[in-house]
Parts: sequence; C-alpha cells; structure tokens
Amino acid sequence: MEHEKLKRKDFFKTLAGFTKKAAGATVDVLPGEPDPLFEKYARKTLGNRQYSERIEVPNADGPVYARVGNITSGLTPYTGAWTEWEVAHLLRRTGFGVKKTDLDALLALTPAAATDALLNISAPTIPSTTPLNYYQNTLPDSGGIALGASWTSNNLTYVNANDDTNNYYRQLSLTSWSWGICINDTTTIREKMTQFWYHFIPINFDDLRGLQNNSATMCNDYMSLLRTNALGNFKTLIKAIAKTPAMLVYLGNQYSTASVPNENFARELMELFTLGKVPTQNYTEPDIIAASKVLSGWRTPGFITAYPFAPAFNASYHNQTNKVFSAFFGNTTITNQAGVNGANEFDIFFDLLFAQQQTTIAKYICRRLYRFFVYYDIDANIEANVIVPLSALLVSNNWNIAPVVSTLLKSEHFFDVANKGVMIKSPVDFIAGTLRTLNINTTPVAGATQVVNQYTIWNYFQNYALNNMDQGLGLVPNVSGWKAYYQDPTYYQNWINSNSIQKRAALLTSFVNGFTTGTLSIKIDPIAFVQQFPNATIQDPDLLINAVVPYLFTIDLPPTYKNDTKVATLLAGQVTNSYWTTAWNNYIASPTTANANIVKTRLNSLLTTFLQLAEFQLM
Amino acid sequence: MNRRKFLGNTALFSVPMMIQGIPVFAGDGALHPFLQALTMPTANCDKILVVIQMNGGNDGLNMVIPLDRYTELNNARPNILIPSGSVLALNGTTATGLHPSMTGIRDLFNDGKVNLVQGVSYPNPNFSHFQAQDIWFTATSTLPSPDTGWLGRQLDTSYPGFPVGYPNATNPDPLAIQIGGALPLSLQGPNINMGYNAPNPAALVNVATATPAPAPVSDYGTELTFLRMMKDQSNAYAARITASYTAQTTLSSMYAASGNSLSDQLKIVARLIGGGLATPVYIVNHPDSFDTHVDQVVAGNTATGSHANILAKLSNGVVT
Repeated sequence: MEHEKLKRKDFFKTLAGFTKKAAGATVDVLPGEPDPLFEKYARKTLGNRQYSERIEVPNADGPVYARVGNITSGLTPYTGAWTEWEVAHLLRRTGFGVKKTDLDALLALTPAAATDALLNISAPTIPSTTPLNYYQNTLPDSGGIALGASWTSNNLTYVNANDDTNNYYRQLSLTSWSWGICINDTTTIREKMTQFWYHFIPINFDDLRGLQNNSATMCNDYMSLLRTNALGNFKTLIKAIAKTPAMLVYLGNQYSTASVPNENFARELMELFTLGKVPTQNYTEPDIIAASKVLSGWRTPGFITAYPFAPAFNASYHNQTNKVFSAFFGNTTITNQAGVNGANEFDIFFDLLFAQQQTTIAKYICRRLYRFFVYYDIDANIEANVIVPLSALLVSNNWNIAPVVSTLLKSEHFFDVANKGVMIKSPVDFIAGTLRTLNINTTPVAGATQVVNQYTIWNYFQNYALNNMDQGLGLVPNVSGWKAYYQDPTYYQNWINSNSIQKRAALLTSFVNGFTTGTLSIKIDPIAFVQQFPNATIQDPDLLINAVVPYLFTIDLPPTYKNDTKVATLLAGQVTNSYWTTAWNNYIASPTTANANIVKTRLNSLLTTFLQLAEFQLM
Repeated sequence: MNRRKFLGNTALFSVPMMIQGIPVFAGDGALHPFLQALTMPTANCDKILVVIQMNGGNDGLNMVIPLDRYTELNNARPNILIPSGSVLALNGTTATGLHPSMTGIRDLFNDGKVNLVQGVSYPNPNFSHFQAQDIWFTATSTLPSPDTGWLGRQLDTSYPGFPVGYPNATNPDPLAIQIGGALPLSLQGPNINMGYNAPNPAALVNVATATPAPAPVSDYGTELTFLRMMKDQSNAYAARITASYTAQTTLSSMYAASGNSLSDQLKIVARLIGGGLATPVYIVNHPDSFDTHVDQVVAGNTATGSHANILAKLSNGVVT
C-alpha cells in the first residue's frame, strides 16, 4: 500500500499543469515527504465528532489546532467572547454572508440580544412584498397584470393560447424574486428558516408546472405559507401543508379517490415530514394506507378558477371505512364519519400522530434543525446534550419552533469552536453570501425597465445555482429535499464535485474581473469594500488583512500566510508596508483613475487570493 | 462475459417482446457482470460505453415499429401511426422496422453494428414522468427510488471509495464524463456523483490549490481536506482531459459542419477516446426533448413532424 501511495503522489507531480503552488501558496510537497493532503484525508466516521481547539505549541508558527477531546457543550446560554468571529458565525448560519453593517449592529448587542434581533421576523418588503411582472415586454400578461405589478393574486383562465407560457414566466418571476430576497433581505433568520422548511417539506416548482395549471400562484402560496410560519408552530404547519394546493398536487392527494386512496402524501408525511426514515420506526404499510384513507377527499376543486384556490373536503372522494392503525399508533381505529363529517377525521388523525409519537417526532425535527444550522454529525454526546433537551422543549412548547431555534442559537454548543467552519457552503450560501459579504451591487439603475433588468440579474444567479451546482430555488431533486442535509454519510459534501468546484472558482473570478448580465456589470468594488473600515486600518496592510479575514473565513489564517499574502498582493512583492500606505494615501489625497487603479489592482489581487482558498467554501 | 455474449442474451430482436417487463439490468445490488466488465479501465477490457441520453417520453412504438402488431397499432393509434409502406425494413426480419427518418441507423443495423432491445419497461406504470425517469436512471422500480444511479452504483463497485484516493497511477482519468449539462442521476454513486462534466474540454477551469496551513485533525479539518482534495482532483482530471483532447487532432471527415449538436458532442467523445483517455463511460445528451405531445406528427403526413426531426438528428448524429 505504501508503494502505491508514493506512486500516486509522483503521479500527481507529473501531471501537466498540475502544481500545488498557486498564488500565495506556502505548503510545498517535497520529494520523499508525505503529501499532507492525501495522507490525512479519510472519510469521516459518523458518530465521532472530532473536536479541536486552538492551542499554543512551542516553536510552531503561532497557535495551531489540535484535537483535545469530545464535544460536551450543551444548551447552556453562551456567555463567552463576543467578537467579529462569533457574530460572523451567527450571521452566516442564520442568513447569507456577513455584511459589515449587520456585523457592527450585532456586535453592539449581547449574544442573546443579537439572536433575538435575528429572530424578530416580519414579512418581506425588500425587494418587494411579492414577485412582480417583469416579463410584460416579452409576453403581455393575459391576466391583465401590468409591468412591475404583482401577479400573485391572479389566476390565469387558460383560454388564451399563451397562458401556459405566461404561467412559466410567472414561475420564473417567483424564483428570481426569491433570489432577490436572499441577496437583498434585511438581516433576520426568516429566509434561512423558509429554506429550511422548503427543503424539509418541499414541492418542486417544475414538477407542479407539468401537473396543473396556475402552478405559479400555487407555488407562491406554498412559499408564502412557509415564510409566514417560518418560526411558527410545527404541527400547525404540517396540517396546513396537507391542505395546500401545491402539496395536494405534488404528492398526489389531489388524485385520491374513495376506492383508491393515493398513498404518496401519507407515506412521505410519516417517512419524511414527521417520524423520519430510520430502521427502528416500525409503523406499518397498513398505517400508511389507513392515513391515506383519512386524507382522501381533501382536494382543490379547480385550478383555473378565480384566485384564491379553495381546497376543501369533498365527501364523495373520501374513503368510507373505519381506519385501523397498528400497535405503533396504539391500535387505534378512527371510526368512519359519513358525509361532510368525514372532514373531522383529519384533526383526529393528526392529534393521534402527534400525541402517540411525540418524542419521536420532536427528536426528528430537532435533528433536522441541527443539521441545517449546526453540523450533520450527531454523536452520542450531542444527542444527549442537545437533541434530547431541545426535543423536550419543543414538546413542552406545544410544537412551537421559535423557542427551540432560539435556545439552539444562543447555546454554548452553537458557539463551540468545534462547530465553526464545519459547514460546506450550499450554492445559495456561496452565491448570495459572497454577494452580500463583498457588498457587490446587483441593482440596476432605476427606470422604466428596471424591473426587467433586475429580474434578469436574479435569474442569472438562479441559473448559475441550477446549472451544475444543483440548488435552483424551488427545484429540489425530489421530495427528500437537498441531499446535503440528509444523505448519510456525505451530507454537505454532496454540494461539491470536480465540476461544481470549478463553477465556484469561475464565479469568484468573474466577481473580481467583472461580468455583465442583462444591463448591469456585476463586479466587486474593492475600494468601497475596504472603505467600510476606518482609514487608519486601511493604511496599514497588516491591520487591513486582519480586518478583512473574519468576513471571509471562519478561523484565522496563520500569521506567516497572511504576511506572505500581504507581500505578494498589497505590497506587490516589495518588503515594507509603506509601499501600500503610500499608494493608499495617494489615492485618498488624489482619487484619480490612475491612483485608484493602483490600489484597486492590489486589493483585487488580495481578494482573489483569499476567495480562491478552500477555506472560503466553509462557513 | 464478453460483449457478444451479452448482446446475444439480451438483444432478442428476432423474437421481439420476449423480454417485456424484464429490465436488462436488475437493480438493487444485483450488478450485471457485463456492466461490471465495462466499467473497468478500458485498458483491461478495451470497451467504452457511450450513452446517448434521449430526454423526455419517446414514442418507442413509432421509433422501432412492431410491424407484426400493425393491426393492433392501427386500432389503438391511427392518428399517429406511420404508414407501413414508409417504415424502414430491416435485414433478417419482417416483424420490426424503423422510423422512416432513421436511415442512418437502419444502415448500421444492416451492417451488423446495431442491436435493438425492445419491451424494456416496468410493471403497472402509473404514468408519472418523474417516477418513470427515476426508474430509468436508477434501474430499479422499488419505491421510493434509490438515491443512486445504475452507472453510479456499478462504478462505485468497480472503484471502491471514490473519490478518496483518485486519480491514481492505475486510474488517472475520470470514471465517467458527461459532455455538458448537470450531472445525471444515473451517475450518482453512494458517496458522490461519479461523473466529470466537460462541456468544452478546451476551456476547463484550473482552480487554485493554495494551502495556508495543514488541515487540523477535526471536523473542520475533514471538510477542508475534502475541499482541497476535490480541487486537486478537478485539476488533475482537467489536465488529462485537455491533454487527450489536444492530442487527437485527426478527425473523421464525416464530421461535417452539420449543426447537429449531438454529433458535436460525439465528436468531443471521439477526440477524448482517440487522445488516449481511459474513461470507461461517457454520456451525451440529445439536444431536443422527446416530449413532443401534440406536435409529434403532422396530421395526414405522420412520417413527418417533430418526432421525425429529432429521430433524424439522433440517427444522423450516431452515423457521423
């Protein structure tokens, strides 16, 4: 085996164009020495959290990280250090990226007050309260909606030849607008929670478009429901989605009949939405059938009727037998109720489910939350110290989610160094987070066609995320949601392959070099970015790098690397800091194009070096 | 098991419909020995699988036409039926013929270079496009569909542990390459999608691989190392692909400027194979959707229409 390893390493060195040295690289692979990358790599063994901590090691280049033991932190409120590192961690996990203005605002608060501020959510107003008609000049809206106006309360009649295409454009409007919120939102947890619910109880916009007319209003209603209930009551939300047109269609309850109840929704309700897909769950196939009989009859009468949709119970499609459940449900029988009273079985069933299996459901939802906000690996300590008490909190709060999320985000465990930087950014985190962190302008100039230009830009990012990054908004691959949040054993690593990593690198390069989509040039303004910091900080290249690093990385970079990067970028190979200081002061004194270009070139070089590090893909 | 024997077992062209309902590749771990052989490095088996993915619901009965059931077809679907006189005859059988626009594939068949497998389906279809597509890509009809594709599972068996330790001296090349588009479910392995996407082998992105510090032994270090490894792997594969692509400059004169993007994709595959890339599996995509719905045929002239056009594109693309 040793022989093979050496061969592999040699092989890498001989590859044309392959080199471990890139801009600012400091770790060389010397002949005969083990390649640290390939020697160290081993796929993670789940259930065995690896805890490391910053420790001082004699003769080392500054502090290093070493494994010190198991993670034992729990839900005790966090009272430790409150610096830009902790605030940035909180911002990245609850929103998208780290805007300096947001960081400054939260830094002035206590950790608990900062989290409370993020949990204080309201309906979106930025960029607009609903998606808008941006497509009017391409295809006039046949529902009579004007350019720039909201279409979300208007159903198409499908008597016009273009209505199908019209619906498609409305759907593009919805996904583009969703990007608009991620990129421009005020800083609260609302969109992250909305995305949590979306991937947890998902619909696929394109699938729905293939299945029913007016899928755009249906999908928008569904997303509004998730957004409104972002920090609401779990049981209420699950019961609500069961009667929502989008879910009725997506999982087939719409097509249930009295004699042939469609089992899809009942199955996913248990397997994915409440109980979880674990081998110890011994609910039975007859339980699923019994639930599908209870749910039969709930449907939307029409999809081309005037908005709003009116999902309701239709007794003629309701299975008229007693619904017999297994021991898993306490051998309960839900007695058939004739006629319109059949609708009563719905509440009886959900009360049975949530009462009979409350611990299982509560633990399952808490684990899903944990994997979305903290890390995927839940070992025995975390199960005992975090999941179990959180699930008890969920039950004692009668399925209200807000206290659970609040307790988790304020906990010692959330701020434990073991949980910092362990999450590989999702495409949405990567794209929206980078745009926000670097303050990149994505808003075209105001004017008659601004809405057209704006949606074109948002749609560009939707396509970018969709194309080879596999996270188009509204386009989960299937009802299980995005693999990164459930697929054992690889979880977040599912976002990355040799192709998507190229896409990420290419997008970062284009942010620095600039590219035009629609009418707007998307480009980092490096001068404006650093000018968020005090001038005294910018003048000093060491201070400047130290100020920028917490925005881009979760753990500090080694001093020698920062120094090497400073020399290679801000000093352009010179050795004394004054070269940069002089260049910057010249620019401040006389902001001519020539002086601006001098500092811009060096700042872009610095940002390129930092953004292209693998570390930047972590949050 | 050699290729000839596999085809002998499955392509029961002379007795069509005999394997109706029986999938060619049984899923759920029962891996097919032929597929296994095929996914081993090409140096060992000298075989390369090129999959042409036709997306959407193809009307198979108008593509490979069961002439021996023509009366039943005429009863069931007279509005779209191809006139029997237009159906392309095949050497050695009167039971089956091809769509009139597939002259290229007809010629290849008559030269013994094409085989047909009919009646591949699943029992009691519920007509969900999505379910059908999942069954197609995962090669199993058990519900819920597995998360892995038929090629991905096989590649994972042949190359255990991928992506850890790849590329290496024995396997320097990507295990599967798709020319453009998002990587398909068929290539999804249990750990990772086994495919590498090379829409344009002349323009692959080299990613920076700087490592400011060794990764610590921790969860952070594990994720960081994974990212660094994927960057190195991406560059290594990009280098091999670019080298193979540029090594093969002599191209068949049959690649005329056809405007047929399927042909263009197959040309890229040919260049990579010709340049010595040992990748065992390639996937190209037919550029058009087979969900032709009401545009399938021109009323009154059923041998024409959008289905005829896209089948012609397929046939011409394969022939060149």
